[in-house]
Amino acid sequence: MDEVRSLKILEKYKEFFAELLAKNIMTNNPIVLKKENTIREAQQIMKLKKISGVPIVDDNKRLVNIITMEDLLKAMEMGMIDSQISSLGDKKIVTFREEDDFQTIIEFIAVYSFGRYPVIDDNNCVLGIITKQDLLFAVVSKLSVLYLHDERRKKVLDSPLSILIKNSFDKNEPSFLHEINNQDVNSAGEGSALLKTFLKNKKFDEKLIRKISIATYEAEVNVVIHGGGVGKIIANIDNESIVVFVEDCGPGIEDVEKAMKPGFSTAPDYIRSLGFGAGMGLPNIKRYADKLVITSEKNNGVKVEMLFWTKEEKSS
Amino acid sequence: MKLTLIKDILSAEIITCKDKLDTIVVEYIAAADMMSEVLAFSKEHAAILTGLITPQVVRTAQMMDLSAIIFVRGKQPLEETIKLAEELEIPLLVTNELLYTACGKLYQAGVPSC
Repeated sequence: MDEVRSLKILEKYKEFFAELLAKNIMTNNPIVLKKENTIREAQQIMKLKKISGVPIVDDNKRLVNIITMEDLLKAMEMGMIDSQISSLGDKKIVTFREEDDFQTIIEFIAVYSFGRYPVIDDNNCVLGIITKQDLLFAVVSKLSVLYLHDERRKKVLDSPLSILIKNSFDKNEPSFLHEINNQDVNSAGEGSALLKTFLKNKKFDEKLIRKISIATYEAEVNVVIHGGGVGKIIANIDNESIVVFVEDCGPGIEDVEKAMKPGFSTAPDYIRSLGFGAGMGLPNIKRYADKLVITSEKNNGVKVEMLFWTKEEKSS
Repeated sequence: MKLTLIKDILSAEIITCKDKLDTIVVEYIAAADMMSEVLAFSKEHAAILTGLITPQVVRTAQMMDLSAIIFVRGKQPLEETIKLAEELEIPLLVTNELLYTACGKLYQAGVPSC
């Protein structure tokens, strides 16, 4: 039961492992035996090499059968351990070809749960063998690359420097700060409303304030609908621009590019009855902001940075 | 077009801002039930025709500087919606017209689209 579940988890990373083929996973030149060998010899090899199964081949290295622990136990029970391997009946063997990909292998393993799978060529010759251990090792090697990638992203997300503007400013001394702590979609938008009032008091241009308000509002609603309802709105005003950060600590966006497509929405259905979930949120933000950076990491929240020029001569 | 004239065309009932109604001029009409659509396509000083009665429609109106919110299909706004609208001084009206006929009547009367 647990094995099947753990194989399903690997399913999630199918895409990442798409280039992993049987030939990259298998152990080359595996131990093989002939049917003239005895079952006892098989047992000794398996004990010595700490393996639980051995492919049986003919003189041309072609696969004819396979012997497993189960066979050993049966033979012991019936006192036949000194018989030749040829006395064993044929059994179903699932094999792979060198070019079979990760997804295929996973699918078969999930169904068959054999301990090992010979990898054969066009002539049925045994080239290698894939055990669950081989699979695990291949996955771990791949994951170590993934880990490095995520570590790098983590450094970027944790940085107090804004990605957008070159001169650093301290996010701990913002012009405007609002903590979002609200799971109720119906009352989302309070932060944006406060920001709007704040900017109005600073006598910024009406059109500019509207752009900023709408973009911040869309971002804030996203925090409530998708981001767990907990986050921050921070705004910084300098001579040339207003930069607004909206961040949350929710589940993050899996595919930012997909999320930017108008109409694409991962909102649950009840959200649509509340007037949201049209899939226009991020595209709207992109339209209104002069510069936009969205950073997200799975399970580590989303950070939306929007820059708005305050002087008209500037163009994005 | 003045909001009071729109009210007459749609035979609408006034929910909030009774007193300041005749000071308001509507420049465009937007019609939508999805707020993100409004945020994407609407313009300021538009009146919105909608069936959405949650406070979010008022927030959207605040963000976009909309002139008024007109609920169609006779839908009465929620209490929280009315309260927020009063606080922000945004006019709310209700008409029994369907969204389609309300749009049609106002379009015929010459109110431009967003």
